[in-house]
Amino acid sequence: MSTLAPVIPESPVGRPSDGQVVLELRSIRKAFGPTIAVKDATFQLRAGEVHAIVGENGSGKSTLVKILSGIHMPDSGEIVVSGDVRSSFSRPGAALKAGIATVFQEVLVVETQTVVENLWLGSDGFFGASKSTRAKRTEGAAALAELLENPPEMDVLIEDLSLSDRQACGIARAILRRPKVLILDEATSALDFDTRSRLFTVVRRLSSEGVGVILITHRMDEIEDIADRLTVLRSGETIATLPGDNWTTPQLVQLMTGAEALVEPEEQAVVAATATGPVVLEARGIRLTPSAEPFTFSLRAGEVVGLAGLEGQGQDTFLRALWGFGTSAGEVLRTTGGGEVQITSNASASRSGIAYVPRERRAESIFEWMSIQENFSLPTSRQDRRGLFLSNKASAARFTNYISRLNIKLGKPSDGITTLSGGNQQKVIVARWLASNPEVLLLNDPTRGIDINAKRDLYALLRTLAAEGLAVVMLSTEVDEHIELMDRVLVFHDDNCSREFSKRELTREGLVSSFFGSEKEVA
Amino acid sequence: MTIRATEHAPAPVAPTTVSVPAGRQSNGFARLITIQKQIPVVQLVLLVVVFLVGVVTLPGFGSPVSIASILILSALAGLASVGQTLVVIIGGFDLSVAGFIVAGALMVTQFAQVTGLSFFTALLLLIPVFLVLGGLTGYICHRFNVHPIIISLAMGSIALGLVRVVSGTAIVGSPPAFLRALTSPIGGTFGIPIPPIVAIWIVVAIAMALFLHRTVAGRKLYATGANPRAAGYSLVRTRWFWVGAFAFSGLCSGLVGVALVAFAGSVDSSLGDPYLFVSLAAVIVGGTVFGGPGDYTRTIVGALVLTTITTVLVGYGLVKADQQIMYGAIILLAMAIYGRDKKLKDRV
Repeated sequence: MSTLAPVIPESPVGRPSDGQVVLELRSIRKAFGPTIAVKDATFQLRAGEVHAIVGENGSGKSTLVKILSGIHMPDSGEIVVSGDVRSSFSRPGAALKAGIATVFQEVLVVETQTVVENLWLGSDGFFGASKSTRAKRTEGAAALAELLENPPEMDVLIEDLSLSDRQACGIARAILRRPKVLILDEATSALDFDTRSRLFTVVRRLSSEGVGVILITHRMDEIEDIADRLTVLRSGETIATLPGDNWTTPQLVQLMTGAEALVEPEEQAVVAATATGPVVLEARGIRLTPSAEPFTFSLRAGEVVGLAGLEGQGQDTFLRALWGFGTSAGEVLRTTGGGEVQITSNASASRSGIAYVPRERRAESIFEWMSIQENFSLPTSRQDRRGLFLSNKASAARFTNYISRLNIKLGKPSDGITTLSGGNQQKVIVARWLASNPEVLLLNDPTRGIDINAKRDLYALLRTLAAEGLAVVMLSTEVDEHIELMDRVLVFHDDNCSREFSKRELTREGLVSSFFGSEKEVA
Repeated sequence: MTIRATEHAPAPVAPTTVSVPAGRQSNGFARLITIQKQIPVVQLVLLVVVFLVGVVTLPGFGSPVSIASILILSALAGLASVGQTLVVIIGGFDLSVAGFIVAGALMVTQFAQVTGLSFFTALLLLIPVFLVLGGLTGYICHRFNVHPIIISLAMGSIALGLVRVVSGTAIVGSPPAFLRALTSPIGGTFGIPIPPIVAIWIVVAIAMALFLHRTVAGRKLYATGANPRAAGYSLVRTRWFWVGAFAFSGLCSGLVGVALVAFAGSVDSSLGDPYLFVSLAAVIVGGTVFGGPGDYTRTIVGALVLTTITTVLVGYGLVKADQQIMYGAIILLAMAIYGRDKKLKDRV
């Protein structure tokens, strides 16, 4: 896949983007334990430009923003702000002082305080106020009036505002600090359409006044609308910087995904067999939010179905709905030869032979101080009862099967679970649920943050299990996983199941561009 | 500039991960800490040393009656901490102990007298009432996600208030004669020369060990403390373990109150006060950590250590204030050893 010419010279003349560099990142690196979130990020922001940063889930965008706003400290590299070279911002206040204001995707307001208090949150010192109350009110009102058609009164409590208006207050708060650099980290996702277009007018005004704006977004139309330049991040590296008027979606997608496959092609061939088993699970008329489109999904024995999409587009809600967490509307039915059972709770899902491997291994699966074997056996410990009491031997015997089957590398089963690597911990968790003899296995991004060998073992296991008739639904944030492992893939966008790919329709580019809701351009 | 060739950049899409070597390299000190976390070595050594110091320096300390007294006091402390141990294992703690002890003591004395109930009827009535009141603490804490500090303290106060409403405000009462035998240092149990309360303690200890390590419920109790969310995903009904642990703790406190009536010979409103602190101290000094790991055998060691130290210090003429300082220091030390785990960081 070397058809693309990625090195595109930056346009020497452009829109207002000829200003001097206000912010520069040089070879920034940041690791969290064994996971390298940002490997080598180099990036320049000029005064008066709107610079979009794009990349897949996990490409390091959020980490980069958090480094720029003083939440994380980079392991190495330099940050240059207005000519001032430094290695990090030690705390959020330091970044703000250097003139960098950030608005995050999560709406960060203090619900029980008024609009004006939220707009000036943190601006006052311990004793003295930064401005007179009157000045705060007039300036605050002016900033909000620019963003909202019907701005709220200054004394209204934030909790009485709509989500979009709350986020507008968060944005106004950043603007009121008169930053040299404004970072909008998916800040538009909570805004309604009207407020978003007003925000973009404000952004254009700010950039004409010389403010550098960093825009992080998943929406191609926003980039098209407003970005003067854009930088692509992949696997924590800045891959390329393009001018804002010279890119196409397929080109961008290819830059974002790269072209390296995780598993050799001959291995892929093994999966080719398509499932034709009976329907084992059905979701009828499911709506993920009250305003979403209803859809129906049926799962057959022996098939592996992938759930894909950008972070938080509804795939998580859908997967959890299949395990009885409930949704806005619709029903989930477990169909067996004997008839149908409606899944209304986790317990009923579990009773009907549906197992669920949660997303956050550490927070939702692992009992940290307990042994490997105890971690394995907990939900199925009834099986180890001999008479009144539990038999350690019975539990050990059960576990031994899975150690070899999943290729779990461990010292002794009585060792602590934390002595294992992330991949082996995850295998223990998968074994935990296989031990309940499920007919439907739901996995919520099970390979996140585990090493490549453990991933391969897990893929091989899932294929074997599917061949034996297990139905698998797996949410994954990795495009390659969908390409290699899945018999079909459901793509979620805006809480809707926006597209379904069969095995032979799947391509990296097609899948990724469908994430952004623009599949027509490529597929 | 920032432009970079991408053509053959071999980069996987996900953040790169490197597998961590299993287990950390441990030096001698780390190994000692590891052993200490499995067996309360320090506490056992401390127990033996303090006991020997007592035997050598205090006349009569090693006599059978003196040892029996220490065992009886330890048994009372240990029994008051049975429920507390379970509550700490699930990640909470119970401050209703003092209130429930006095309420339990009043139930079988003054309350029984006022209402004309026999001792055993009052005792039978005590069991469901205290289970419900204790269970309510657990339910409220879990359902509304509030810390048990306040709720349990309030519930202890309510229990005491309820009993007083019925039995009148003046607190006086004396135990039936046969109850005194329960905690008599010269008494025996079915011919064995062990005070009955100590025999009861031994039985309870065995039952607790079986429950915690050999039943499904025991495993799930540990899981509830180790990671409540993961326990929920493992279909453990964590709320009922909170209800159960607090209900059991309430019952234990009530029954210890009954035993204390026998031991002290009379009831007053400060009867339970020392045990509030002792029940928690025994659990923590034994080395049970909030949310686990932990065990009742550790609490037994904790109760023995605390009681022996107190007895020796009293022998040296230390007053109550000195004891309090010492208790506080011991708890700080225990928390320094056990509490510095990453768990605590997660919880805050």
